[in-house]
Order: sequence, then structure tokens, then C-alpha cells
Amino acid sequence: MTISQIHHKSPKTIDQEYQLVKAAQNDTAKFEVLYDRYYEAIFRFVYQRLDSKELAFDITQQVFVKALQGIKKYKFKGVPFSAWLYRIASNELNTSFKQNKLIRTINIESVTPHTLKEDIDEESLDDLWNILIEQIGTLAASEITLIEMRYMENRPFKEIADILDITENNAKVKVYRILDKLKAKCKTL
Amino acid sequence: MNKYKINIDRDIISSESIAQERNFAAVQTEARIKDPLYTKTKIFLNSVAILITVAVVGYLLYSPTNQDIDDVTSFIVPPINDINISFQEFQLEACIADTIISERGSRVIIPANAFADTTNQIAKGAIIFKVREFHNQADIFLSGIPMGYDSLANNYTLESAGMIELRAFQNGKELQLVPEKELEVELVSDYSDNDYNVYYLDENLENWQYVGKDSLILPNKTLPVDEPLEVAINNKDILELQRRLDSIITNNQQFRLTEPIKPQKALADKWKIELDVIAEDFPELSVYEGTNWQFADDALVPDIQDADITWDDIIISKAGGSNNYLLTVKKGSKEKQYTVNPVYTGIAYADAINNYENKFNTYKAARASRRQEEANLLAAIEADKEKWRLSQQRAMSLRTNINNNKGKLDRDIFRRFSVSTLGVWNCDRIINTNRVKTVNALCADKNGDAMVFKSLYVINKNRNTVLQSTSQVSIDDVLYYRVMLNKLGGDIIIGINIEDKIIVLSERELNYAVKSAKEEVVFNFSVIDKEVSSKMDFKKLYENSFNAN
Repeated sequence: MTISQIHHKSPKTIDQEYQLVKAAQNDTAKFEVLYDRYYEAIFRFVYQRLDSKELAFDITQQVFVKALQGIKKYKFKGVPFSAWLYRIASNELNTSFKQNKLIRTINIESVTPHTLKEDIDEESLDDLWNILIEQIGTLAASEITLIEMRYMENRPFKEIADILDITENNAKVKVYRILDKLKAKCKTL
Repeated sequence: MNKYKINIDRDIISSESIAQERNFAAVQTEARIKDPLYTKTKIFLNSVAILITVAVVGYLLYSPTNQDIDDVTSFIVPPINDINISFQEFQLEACIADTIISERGSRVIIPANAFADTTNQIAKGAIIFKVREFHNQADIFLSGIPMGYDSLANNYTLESAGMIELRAFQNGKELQLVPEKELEVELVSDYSDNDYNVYYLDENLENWQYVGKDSLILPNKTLPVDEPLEVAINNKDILELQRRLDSIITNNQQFRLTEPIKPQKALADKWKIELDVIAEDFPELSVYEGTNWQFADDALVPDIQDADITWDDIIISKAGGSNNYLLTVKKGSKEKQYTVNPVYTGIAYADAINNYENKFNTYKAARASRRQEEANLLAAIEADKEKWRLSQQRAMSLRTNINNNKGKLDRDIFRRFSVSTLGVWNCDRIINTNRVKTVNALCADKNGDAMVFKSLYVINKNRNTVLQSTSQVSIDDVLYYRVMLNKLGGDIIIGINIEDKIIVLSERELNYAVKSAKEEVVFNFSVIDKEVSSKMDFKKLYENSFNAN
């Protein structure tokens, strides 16, 4: 998996995208451009947290239904439109977990992600990743969300911050705290 | 115990496979046919199936079919039928900037042309702007506004320093804010801490959205009472329009003088003279080529000998009467004046009439156009004068209101923030999860018979919030309610049972139930038979529950 390029946008590109959003606000048929642009990203976001591919497609469909219904009320906050879609996706997932008693799934690749290599310059990187895989079930839901976004979906901190509605610095601090906790565990094991 | 399923190195789905599932037409269809009445209401989530059925049917029965003025979103469900926090209504001119002050003293500053309908057409004319505020637990409880905040599967409770709901309507249809417009709100608050944030209740996502920090106005910082009111039209604009109108009226008066004069037929029994007329000096006489000048009825009788004189100078000037001219002839010191009318004979008359009719039609069209322009400008001036008058009236009323309430305003704390969309806005902070504990409890009445609830709420005397408890847990086939309580105490529980009656567990009863529990916690609720029909009734009820020690 590579770093999500969708979020690497200049202010000009974000503004251009907002023009597409405005067009969709005036004519919902024009939402299709945004639908095509983000369908795969939203599906992968949903599927990352589920076990069933079919259910992931269903939930993705619901995300865009909700987005289309709510597009007129969308307010531009200077961040990519995708952040809004990811939030709808998170809400849809949470609703599904509660209503359908679904089990939250965490999908992990055994290969140490390059984002972890970017964040930590240590020889024992692979060990740390293995510990993380072993211990991930013991983390709090909010910690899993951060680890998942950063190391399993390889998202930049800025995008994580936009989706979670926190500052970029806060996203970094939170992730590094979790890593410190895991490193401490690594030493004791 | 593992709450998660963990997959390692799951097969990756190709982009092509994902793309095959794309179906925008299906999304459009579903978005269109999905009626909000059928969407879930959080209040009933995780309740037993039969309760959900009852609740949804009840909602369908009571919900309005159109989006009318009293419409509320299905997401916000007041727990007690017939008691809600009422809106205060203001009639505003959509194109005029305005400021309203609520009964509580909160201010909402509204720019001109800030509202649009669902097709993004900017609203013009009179609109109804509605405001209601929520400052205490009774307000929060009765409104049904949820105080739970779901941040990516982490559930928090918000504690409020004041909430405000803003709506706008025109002809019964709800309006929205124009994207680039913002309202400024100065919300009265009973709390002076500066760690509150601003959240907007996103009714689409059914969740609060963090917006930013509010700015606190403490009592020693008084509000500017003489702040000039921004108005779309000011007196200068009207004076300028008036000047334009005056100029057009003057031009039109001059224009009217150029109205062609209907040619007059020569009469056989009248004296006539022939003259050559210089058309540049008398343009209106250009139609009189080959004109004969006939002496007017009241003119002096001409001296026949005058016809034989070669006059040095002849002057023709307009005289009184629509078709009278003054003919002055001079020779040395001799001067005579006659009142004459231009007249025609034979074919010249027919030609002159034709010529006149053509010119008169052109003149008539030009005159109609000028009259219309004049009328339009006059109407615009009158409309602007009316707008200006209304804005002045509003400004005067605002200043009077501020002056009348000045003492009160000086004492209040305000929280200032910008509003980018209409709906519910909240100045609040997250209650630290370390300060709450979860209790699994059996719920029964005073006789020990199990009770079923539509909704259950925890109210704490020290925290300005209402925590809704909707989740249940089944342990060994016994259904327990999961209730979040404050570790430091001070809670009461209020619920609505299946018969729509209010049930209460007082602070003393709650403390006793928790402390005395050996194996399981049992809450024995009192059913309130007394009618609760107003906010005051409800406030008394829960305040007594705190004091019942």
C-alpha cells in the first residue's frame, strides 16, 4: 500500500475541488464527479475496518447516499472534501457496528510499513511492528484508529488530523505516545 | 477477551473490481427515495424491537408531512410530548443587515442577503427568523437535543455553557445560510470558564462537529451600545436616486414641449399671410412647410396697407395658447404685432397631417418610455425609502432595547462565535471519562416489577448536561441497562416509561441503590402521576429529586 495521494493537495487544488462541490450543491447530478473520484478511497477505508467485502460495498453505497443527501449543507472549511466523506464513512461504520452487532476487524500487513520507518529510526523496527500486531487488540479504540490510519492505511498526519478534526501536531503526539507505549512493552517482553 | 477480529495479509481487492461496483444512478435513486421519517432516531437505538416499532409509529403519526415552520428534525426527539422549548420569532427584511436580541439577551448579528432557499436563490422580502436557547438541564432535557459526542467510535458526553438554535423561514419553507455569509452570535452564558469549545450539531451525520473556540466576553467588558447598525440602503443612496429622478423629470418636461402640434386647416373667411420660416429656429414648425399664417380670432384686424410694406424685420415667437404665434413686423420706428396660427390648405394640409401623425406616434412612444422610466425610478426610491425607514426603526428599537437592558447586559457573560450554517450550536466541553463510571442495573418500580423504558437520562446537579442512557447488556439472559454515573455523585435518573409517564430515581435513592448492592444494582423508580405540563413543572420535579435527602 502506498501513501494516499488524494490528500496531498495544494490550496489551489483544494479550492478547485470546492468548485466541484459547489456545482454539486447546485445540481446534484454533478456529484457524480466526486463520487467517481472518491469511491475507491472510501471503499478501502470501509473495507479496512470490516471482514465482509459485500458489506463494505453496501456501507460505501450508504456513505455516498448520505453525502448526496447532505451535500447542500456541506460547509467548506479549507480541508479536502474527502475528510467530510471519511467522517460520514466512520459514522456509517459505527452505526453498523452498533445496530448489526458486527465485529470490528483490523486488517494488517505483516510487512513493516514504510510510514513506521519514517517515524522511527530504530534497528528493532520489525520487532516493534510484530509487537504491535500482537498487542493491537489491547489498545483502546481511539488508539487503534490512529495506528490504523497511520501505519495500515499509510496516511499523512495532515490527513489524519483533518479526518479526526484535530491538529496535525496533536495527531503526531498521539501516535508517538502509542509507539512509546509499545516500545516499553517491547523491552519487557 | 478480544473485541476485534484481526486479519493478517488479507487478499487485496483490485481497483478494477472496486470500480465495477460503482453505480451512481443507484445512489441518486436511494438518496431521492429515502424519506427522513424512516431514518433512525438515536433515542431508540439499542432498545428492544417492540419499542422501536412503537416509537417509529408514534413518530410517523405525529410528524408533520411538510417542511413547515414548526418542523423539527427527526434526529432531535423531545422526550415529553407537548413540552418543548419554544422559539422566539423575529420578522426581518432579508436584504437588510440586522441584529436581534433574544429574551435572554443573546445577540445575533445578521448580514444583508444572508439567506437562500434550497435552490440557492437568495431570499428577498420578509422572512421569519427563529431563535431558541438552552441554558440548563431542563432546557436540554425537554428539547431532546443529544449531548453524546461520537468521535470515531469514542463516545463522550458534552457539558454545555449554553446552546442556541437558529432557523429561518420564508412562506413556510426553511431557508439556509448563503455559503459565504456568517452570522455572529453573542450567546448569554452562566459559565465563565474559558475551556469551552464551539460545536455544531450536524443533523445529517447525527453528531456534533467541532468548530473551534468561542471568545468569552466577561461582565466588565460591556457591549458597545452605540454600535452603528449596518444597513443595506443609507440616506445618501436615496438622495442620489432622488437627484436622478429630479433630473429625469426636468428632461421629461422639456421633452413634452417638443410634442408635435396638430396642423390646422385654413378657413376661407380669415385673413392669411405667407411667410418663409427658418426651421432651425422653430423646429416644431418644420412640419409646416408651405404654411399659411392665419390671423387668430382675437387678433387685431390687420391693416390692408401693411401687406404692401417691405418690412425690415419679422419676428415670430410662441404666444399663449397651444397653436398661437406672435408675428412682429418692424420697419424703422414702426412696429406691429399680430397673433397668428399656422394653417394649411388642400394637399399641403393632407401632407401635413400625415407628417404630424408619424411624428406624433414617435413622440408618443418616446413619451411612454420616459414615463415608465420615471415611474420605475420613483418606485425604486419609495422602496429604498421604506427599507431605510425600517432599518432606522430597527436601529432605534435595538438601541432602546440595549439601553433598557443595559444593567442586565453588563452583568451577563457572553460567548461570541460565528455561525456558518443554521441549526443548533453549542458552547461546550467534553466531560472527562475518568470522572464517570458505568453501572449495569436492573430497573423496576417501587413494587419490584420490572420496568421498560422509552428513554432514560442521567442529570447531575453539578454538570450542565443530560446524559442519555440507551444501551443495554444481556448477562446470563438478563437484560441490564448500562447507566453512566458521575463518580463524585450528585446524579438523579429520569426516564419515560412505555406509558409515556415520567419516572424518577432521586439522588438519595440512587446512592443507596449503588452502595447497598451486593450482587446486582437494582433501581426502584417512582412513577410520577402528577401532570407535568410546563418547563417549570419539570424543573421543580428534578430539583426536588436532588433535594430529597
